[in-house]
Amino acid sequence: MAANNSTGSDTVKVLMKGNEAVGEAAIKAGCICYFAYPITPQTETPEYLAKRMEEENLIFLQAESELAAINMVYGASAAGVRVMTSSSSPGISLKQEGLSYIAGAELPCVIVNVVRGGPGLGNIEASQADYFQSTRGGGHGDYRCITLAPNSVQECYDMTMQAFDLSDYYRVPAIIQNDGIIGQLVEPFEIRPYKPMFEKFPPKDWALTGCAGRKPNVVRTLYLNPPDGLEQLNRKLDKRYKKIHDEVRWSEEFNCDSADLIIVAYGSTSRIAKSAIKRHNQNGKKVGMFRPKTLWPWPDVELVKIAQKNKGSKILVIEMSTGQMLEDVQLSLMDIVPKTDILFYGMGGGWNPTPDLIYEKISEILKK
Amino acid sequence: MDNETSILIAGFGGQGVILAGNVLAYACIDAGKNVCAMASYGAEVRGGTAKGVISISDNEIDSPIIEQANLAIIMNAPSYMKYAKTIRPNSPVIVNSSMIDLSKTKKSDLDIVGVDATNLAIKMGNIKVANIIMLGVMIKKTGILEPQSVFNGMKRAFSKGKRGLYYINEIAFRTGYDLI
Repeated sequence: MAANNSTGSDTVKVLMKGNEAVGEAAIKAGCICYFAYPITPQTETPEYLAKRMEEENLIFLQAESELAAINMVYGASAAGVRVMTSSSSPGISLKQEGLSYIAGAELPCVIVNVVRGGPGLGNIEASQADYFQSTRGGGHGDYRCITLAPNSVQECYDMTMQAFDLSDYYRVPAIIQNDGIIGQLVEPFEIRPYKPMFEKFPPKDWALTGCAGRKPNVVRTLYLNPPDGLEQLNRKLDKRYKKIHDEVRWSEEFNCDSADLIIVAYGSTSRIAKSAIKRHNQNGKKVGMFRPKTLWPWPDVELVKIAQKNKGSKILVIEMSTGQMLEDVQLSLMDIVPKTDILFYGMGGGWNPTPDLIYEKISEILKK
Repeated sequence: MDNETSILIAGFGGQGVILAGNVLAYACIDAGKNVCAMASYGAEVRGGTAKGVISISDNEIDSPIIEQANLAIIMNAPSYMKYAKTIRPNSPVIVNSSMIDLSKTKKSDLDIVGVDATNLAIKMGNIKVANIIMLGVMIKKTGILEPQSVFNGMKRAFSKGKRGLYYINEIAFRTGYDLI
């Protein structure tokens, strides 16, 4: 569905798909270049940007492949501009080599993954099975990408702008991990004006902007000399990732005071779960939810706090996968919640839970 | 959840299923209601079935996935065959009797309202407005929105290059609204 800009106000509610909201947010955040290749269920983003970027005199290019697109991102980022690409799972796998290079070259960029069922070409249904890929780097080498997980069209819009800011500020790639449900969802949302998250950004004095009058900059990922050069880079990156973990852990809690059961879910799954939780709450059952908004850095400190104030309560992780975020929950809570009290509900392959299914699962757990 | 209206709109590609949903969603914004819509996506072909589900509520809408629609507009026979069983029993279902044989809908436990929408639209001079005639019937039948909100919604759905289409659609809506 197309944007409707019939009024001039900045806060008028418009109707768009999540994928389109991502595109509009990129433009608002000052994205100069967008390179991508179509794939369901994310194609509305390039479709929308093909039109809008031309209107704004920006650079839209449909590359010949995902590989080409990510290397164009690499180049544009090295030149110091804000740049974005988007794809869905199989396409994101193709981009991993380039992503590793971008991380190694300490370049900022935004990558949107509207996750679909896998492995392989899989299917086109919504999935959350790329959690490991997004939060563990994805390509080769020791690196991490900031990973944001929206659960509404408003958040698709807001988080895309924030992803540009975080990526520029920390010089690491930022991923929007969406899924086929939120990407395709049509909801009214506010087109808010772009407000940078930080007062000051570090200058892009490393960018390749033409070296007349200064020493040439070099953007590289190969470190052979000195022998410990790469180790130094990894130490620097590691320090940066720890700083990001200290400064960027986003989460949200719902009814987590004196809960008997706490659901942990993100993205579309968190919305489906919330419907089921509210039904249980109406029946007097104490069920709450913890929703990570950043998948990396994982909000471990926040989850620990909730587990501590709800001693003895069970944890139920719900994912559209066979259990990936589950491992982060187990790691965070290993000292305070017995492993047998951390339960899991989910399946991969494009399966999605319904409010009824989750309601039943919760009833089953509360009965025990 | 319980006071949520979940509307299924289905037909073949080209019957304006998505557009009807768009108009409805804009009308909800106008009326200050929360709305959330999911259209079927992916391996669809021209002439195949198109489906959208729109949830409307005065409260926050959580799950975008719904188990059962409790209101529906069905534009053609294959869609009726495919989706009728997914609708909650006793729900109002507006069916396009120009394309769906009403004798086949008799056995169902749904509250069927037949509308000769395609033929009415042809008489109006534009077959494409059958969807909006159906929408008019649905709004009258259920009272979920004021007609004025639908007109305001239409003005946003038919903006920019499509402004010329507003009036015939307003007439189509009124035609449907006055049918029952």
